[in-house]
Amino acid sequence: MLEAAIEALVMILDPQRLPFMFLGIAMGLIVGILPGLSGTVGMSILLPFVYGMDPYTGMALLIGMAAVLHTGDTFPSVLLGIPGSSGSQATIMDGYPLAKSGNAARALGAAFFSSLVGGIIGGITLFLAIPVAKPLVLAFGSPELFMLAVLGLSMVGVLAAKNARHGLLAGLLGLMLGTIGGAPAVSEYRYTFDWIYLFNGIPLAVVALGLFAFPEMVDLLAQNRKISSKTKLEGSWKDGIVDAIRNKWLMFRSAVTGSLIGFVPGLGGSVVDWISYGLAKQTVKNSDSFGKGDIRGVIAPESANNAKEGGALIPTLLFSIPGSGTTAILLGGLTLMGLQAGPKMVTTDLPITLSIIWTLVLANIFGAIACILLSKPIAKFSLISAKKLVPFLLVLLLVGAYQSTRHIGDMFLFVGIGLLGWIMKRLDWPRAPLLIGFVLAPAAERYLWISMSRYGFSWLTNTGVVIIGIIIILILSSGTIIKKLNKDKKNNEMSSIS
Amino acid sequence: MKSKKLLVLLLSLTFFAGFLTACGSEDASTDQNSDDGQADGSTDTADGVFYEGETIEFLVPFGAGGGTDTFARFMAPYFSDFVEGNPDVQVVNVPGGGSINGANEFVELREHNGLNVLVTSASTHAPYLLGEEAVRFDLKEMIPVAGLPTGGVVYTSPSTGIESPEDLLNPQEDLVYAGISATGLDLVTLLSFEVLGLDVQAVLGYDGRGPSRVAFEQGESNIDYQTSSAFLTNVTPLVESGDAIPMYSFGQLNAEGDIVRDPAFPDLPSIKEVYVELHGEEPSGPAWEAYKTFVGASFTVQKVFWLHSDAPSDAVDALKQASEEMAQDSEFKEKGGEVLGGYDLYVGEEVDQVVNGMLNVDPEVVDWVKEFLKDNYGVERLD
Repeated sequence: MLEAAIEALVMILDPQRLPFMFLGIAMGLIVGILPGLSGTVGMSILLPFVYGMDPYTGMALLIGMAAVLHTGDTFPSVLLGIPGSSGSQATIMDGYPLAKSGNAARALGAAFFSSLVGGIIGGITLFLAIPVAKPLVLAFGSPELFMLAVLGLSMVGVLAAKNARHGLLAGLLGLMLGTIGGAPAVSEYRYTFDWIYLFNGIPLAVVALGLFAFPEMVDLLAQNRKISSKTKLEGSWKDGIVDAIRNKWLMFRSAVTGSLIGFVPGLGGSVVDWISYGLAKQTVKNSDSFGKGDIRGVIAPESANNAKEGGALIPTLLFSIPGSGTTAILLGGLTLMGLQAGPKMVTTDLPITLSIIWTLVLANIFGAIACILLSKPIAKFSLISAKKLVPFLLVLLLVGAYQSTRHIGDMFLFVGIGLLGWIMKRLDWPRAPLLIGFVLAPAAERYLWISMSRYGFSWLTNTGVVIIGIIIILILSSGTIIKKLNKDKKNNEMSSIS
Repeated sequence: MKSKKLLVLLLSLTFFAGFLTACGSEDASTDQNSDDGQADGSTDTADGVFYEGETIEFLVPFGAGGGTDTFARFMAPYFSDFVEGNPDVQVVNVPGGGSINGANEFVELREHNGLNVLVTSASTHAPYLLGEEAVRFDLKEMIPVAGLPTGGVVYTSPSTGIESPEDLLNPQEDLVYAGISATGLDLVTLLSFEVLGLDVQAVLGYDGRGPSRVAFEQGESNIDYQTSSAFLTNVTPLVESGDAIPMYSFGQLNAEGDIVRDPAFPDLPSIKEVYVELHGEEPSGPAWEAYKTFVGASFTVQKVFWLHSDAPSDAVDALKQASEEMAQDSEFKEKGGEVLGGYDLYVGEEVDQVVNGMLNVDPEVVDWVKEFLKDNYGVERLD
């Protein structure tokens, strides 16, 4: 295996192939930086060029793009408070407040370093998973997948800790929005009002951009201020890296979580960042500063969303089950190059799988370095006044939203959901629960439906189901327990002083 | 001022975004204007050659990366080579509405000028045949240029105790089938169970054929089917390790409207032979008629390239001729391996025949299928 890995590395580093990886990296960074454009867009742009390439070159191009997407998408999340792609929303929660207080460079430094480490861990996970992937994938039946969706949904409670009622309502609203379109099991269409645009449901990018980006634009314009309250940028990316290293355990933990969630087929990688953010918030000490510019709130999701890509490739390559829009297109790309995802990817086609892993690792390293070099000039965006900045951003956002289906409905819904998001922001309702509900609605419904029609109620006692159930309860209660422990500690200290 | 510089940067970013949009929607698949495809030594001059210097758009009503998209992208450069005049060929994805969106757009918005080609799959044909409300296209009003079949194989788990097709009626455990949706490709499988008289519980709602195969491997289901290429790649290893036993192929509908063995699986009995073995007579009746209809529309004619019926006849001739030559080309066949799944293209008269067969449906059969879906799977939308 090791010998084959080195051989694959030599293949990748072939001077005729290397430029394609860098082309992919450049593409991934640009798509990531432009708000609203996701990996699906990057993939569809690159796909036609893959035709006729040898698989090593083609994969270097496609994987190079996918690997660094979540490194580049940190820029808009931190600097502008708008999601660079659907995988980087959680970074906004703390990255944006940091930028507002003039610490953009520090937040970016920490984010890129975490992305780099996360990406490498994701690649290693993919490598380690090769021999055990089959039993691992087969361990997740529909009941287990349903419970994992519930685990994701439980983050609603974590993220809305202060205002549980509002958070719950927002989560339910998200679940409802997620039911629009074709039902997963019965061929019926729900809430489509005979509008064919809604047959496939509302696109994720439209919801994410509407909820987070539109309200920010409106408020920036209304106040006509710059994003950063200070006129000079403080701190440098080096501070951010130091922050990240100081929180190395969190970074490592988030990366492992990220690649594990990415690996679960059918859950969709779009909530990895939120789950990782929620877990961090629940388990670190003194989490009160989360949401107000805590660097740990940047490290956790950024490490996880890069690690996810490695995990997501396991079911894609070995079982030809795409975990996301990006990997679905990747499967098409494989076919165009004369390969077929399946068990062969770890036997006869193993060199290709290994080259994919190397590309993941290398692209993450180069992508992060490129971003760090770019961070200084790009961080100055936060110093531009809103009147000049917002019109450009609105164009970009509309383009991003319109990319989803290229139907005029994308525009209408972007504005409609944007207004909803703005009202929620004004009323101080948490918006993340709505998004999580929306993303997980199809999976939760699908697997609950299948579990019930296949097993009745007997699935509730499956070992896997019980284990995940216990984990959910632990996560939900851990926040309160840790807080209580801290309080006790403080009380003890107090009493010992007095 | 520095902000001016940034403004310029912003502007260029915006333009770049615009460029991306253009690229994303109209991916230039080929840009070949080489001479090697010149068909019969005709001159390069513009007179008489319809596609000289033109661009053909393949409208794919699915997202990028799917089976139909991959097929269209594979075919694009060959069309560019073989069509007289060597036009550029671009693939355009118009996803949504389970491919109804794109097909509607082809009829209503695209010019009927011979430069627009629609690529459909079984998912487009079934809603048309079932008379879905959203369908505003009429396949009878289009001209098929080329088509491609695929097949399907039903297999069972050893846990059912079924070792050969003759055991199908007496399984040792309840048969459970994991499917996606009763109105999609699964309809053929469900109809095949109905024809054979199998008692199978269908659990629907899976996210695709990949996840339903994993459900089979997990034991969540114990009878499953995969289309030809997926069967060869992903089920053959299971068969070799003894975790799956192939039962029957769906067969192919021939020109006489009869089911014959699938050329990709010459050693596997078709459903018709299995029926004869189980019941001692040839299959007949409404379920069998319905089965044949939908095998035709879903498998025998899985993918079709269409022109508008009022497209210029020069265009129709040029594309038809090009696909006939393409189907004979050895490089095309060789490179087509995975994409074509071991089948030959339908071209010339054959494509007209099979498409006619698919569209020539007895309304009574359609009504029977609607009843079948309503009674067994609660699909009431089609009334």
